[in-house]
Amino acid sequence: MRSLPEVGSAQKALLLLGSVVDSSDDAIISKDLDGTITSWNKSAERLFGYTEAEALGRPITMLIPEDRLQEEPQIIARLEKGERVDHFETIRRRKDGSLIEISLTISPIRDYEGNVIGASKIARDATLLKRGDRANRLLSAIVDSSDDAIISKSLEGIITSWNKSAERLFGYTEAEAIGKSITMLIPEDRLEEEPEIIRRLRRGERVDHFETIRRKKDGTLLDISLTISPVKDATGTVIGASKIARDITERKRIDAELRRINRDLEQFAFSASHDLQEPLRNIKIYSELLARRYRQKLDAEALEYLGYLQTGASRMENLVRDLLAYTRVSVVPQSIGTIDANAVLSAALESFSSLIAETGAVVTSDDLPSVPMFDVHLQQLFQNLIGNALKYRSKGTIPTVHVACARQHNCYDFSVRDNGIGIRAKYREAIFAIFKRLHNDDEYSGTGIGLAICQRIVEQYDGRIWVDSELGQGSTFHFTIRCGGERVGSSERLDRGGQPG
Amino acid sequence: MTYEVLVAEDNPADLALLKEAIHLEPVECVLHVVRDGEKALTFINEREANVELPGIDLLLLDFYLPKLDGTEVLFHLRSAMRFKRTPVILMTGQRPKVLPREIASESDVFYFGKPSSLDAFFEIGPLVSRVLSGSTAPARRSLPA
Repeated sequence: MRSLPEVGSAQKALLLLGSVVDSSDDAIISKDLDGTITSWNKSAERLFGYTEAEALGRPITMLIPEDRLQEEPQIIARLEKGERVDHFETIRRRKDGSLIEISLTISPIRDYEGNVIGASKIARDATLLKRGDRANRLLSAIVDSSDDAIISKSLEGIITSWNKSAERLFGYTEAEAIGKSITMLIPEDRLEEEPEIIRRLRRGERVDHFETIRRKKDGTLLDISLTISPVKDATGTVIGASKIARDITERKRIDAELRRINRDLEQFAFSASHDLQEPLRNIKIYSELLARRYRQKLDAEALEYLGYLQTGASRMENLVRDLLAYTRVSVVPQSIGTIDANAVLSAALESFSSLIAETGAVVTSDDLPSVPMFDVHLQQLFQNLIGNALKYRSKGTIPTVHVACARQHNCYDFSVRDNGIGIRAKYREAIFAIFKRLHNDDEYSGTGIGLAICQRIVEQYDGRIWVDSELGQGSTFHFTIRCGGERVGSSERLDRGGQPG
Repeated sequence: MTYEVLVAEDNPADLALLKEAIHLEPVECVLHVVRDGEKALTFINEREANVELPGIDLLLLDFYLPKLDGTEVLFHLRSAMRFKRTPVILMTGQRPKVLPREIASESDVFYFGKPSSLDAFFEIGPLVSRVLSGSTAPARRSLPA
C-alpha cells in the first residue's frame, strides 16, 4: 500500500515538471539521438515560431542555418560521451527564416540503465544578453581609454573600481586601490570634504566641477576638478558614487601665469601713463608760460610753433588720460550691487550740459532698468557713446540721441541711437580697436580709445558691443550686460582706488 | 613773521613754479628745498635734535620722491615730537590709502594734485599762504583730476 502515494508523488512531480517547463522563459526542447524533436515547450514556440504540433517529429536541423550544420554532429558526439554542453553561443533559424542569437545548454537524457537516449536542450534568447554585454564592453573600453581618472566607490568611501587614468594620475595600481578608502587620496587639511560629498550624494545630488587638491601615491599634491554622481540601484537607492577626476594642474598654472602677465601689463600701462603725465604737465605749463610772458618777444612763426607744441601736449594729455582709464577698466569690485541706470545716465549727461546747450541737442531715454554693474563702468559707457553721438553730429541738423534698454533672455540690451554722420559698413568693427580713428583731429578730435574702453567694460560683464549704422543715416550703438548669476572672468581685484596721483 | 617752509620736491620745473607762486603771496617765508626723501629726513632730524634752530611751519611734500616717498617722509615727520601737528601740503591728487588717519588728519594735511594749467598750478600760492596764516578752513580743497 506504500506504492500508491509514491505513484501519486511521482505523478505530481511530473505535473510540476511539466508546468515548470511550460512556464519557463527559456525554450526547452528534447530530442533523440537521431536529432528528432520529441518535446517542445511554449517558449520554444515563442522563440522559434513553430508550434508544438509543427515541431514534434521533425529533425532538429530545421533550426540550424546551413553554415552551422556541422555543429549538430559535434554536439551529438559529446552527448554520446555523456558530456553536457554549457552556454554554447550560436545562431539558429526561426520558422520565418530570420536568424536568432541563442545560448544553448544541452544535457544527455539517459534510460534506466544509464544509456544516453537523447538530449534536452535549453535555448535562451541571447540577443538582449549580447546587447547588454556589448554595451558593457564598450563602456569599459571608454572608461579605460579616458584621460580622466574614473573611480567608483561605495557610500562608505571604499574604492570599487579604478581605471587606467586613475592609475596614471594618482600612482596607485588598480590592485592597490580597490578595497581601500578613498581618503587615501585626500590631504589631511581637506578631509572634511569627504563627509560633505557623501552627504550630498546620499541626497541624490551630484557634485559638479568641484576644484580641489588630492594627493598622489608619492605624496605630491595635484590640482583636480571632481565631478561626482550618485550610483543608484534598481530601486533608486543610492549605493555608491562614480567620480571623474581631471588633472587641472596645467590649467591652473596657465591661469596663474595669465593673471600674472595681465597684472604686470596693467601695472605697466598704469605706471607708464601715470609717469607720462608729469613731463607732459611740465611741457604744457611751460609752453603756456612762454606764450603768456614772452608773447611780445616772439615773432609770428615762433608763436605758431608754440601753438603746435601746446596742441601736441594737450592731445598727449588726453591720450594718457584715456589710456589710464582703459587700464583701469579691469578694476572690478568683487561684489556688485545693482544700480539705477536712469541715475547713471543723468550723471553722465551732466558732463555734456554745455555741449548740449551749444548744439541744441535733444537727448531722450526710455525708463531704464536697474542693472548689476559698477556705476563708474556704466557711466563711462554712456559718456563715451553719447559723447560720440554728439561729436559726430550731422552738420545743419539738430542732434538727437535716444537711450533705450530691452530686457533679453539673459542680458540687458542697451542702445544709444543718434542721427549723426553714421559709419561706413567696412569700419563697423574696426572702430572698437584701440587707437583706431576714422577722422583727423581737425575734423573731429579724439584719442581712439573711447570705444576700446567701452568694449573692455562690456567684456567684464560677459556682454558685447556693436553698431548698426549706414553712412549718413545715423548710428545705433548696442551693448549687452549679462543679467543674473555670478560674474565670470577676472575675479582678482586690482585695487588701485587709493593710488595717489 | 618769517615762516620756515620745507619743500621736498625733485622736479626742477615744478620747483620753479612753486617758488614763483609762493613768492607772489604776501607771506614772508624761507624755503628749504630738498630733492629726495632721505634729505627731507635729514632736515627733519636736524630740526628735531636742535631746539635752538627754528621749527618747521609747513612741509610742502611731493608724493613721489626719490629714495623715500612721501608716505615715509610723513611718517617720519609725525614721529618727531616737535612736528606732531606741523601742517603738510601733500602734492598728490588724493589722499593715499596707505596713510592712516592719525598721521594724516584732515586738519593738518592738505592735498594738492598738480594741475596741468598755469593758473590752476598757481593756486598753490594762496593755499600755502592760508595754511601758514592758520586761516585755512579744514575742509579739503576740491582737486583737479
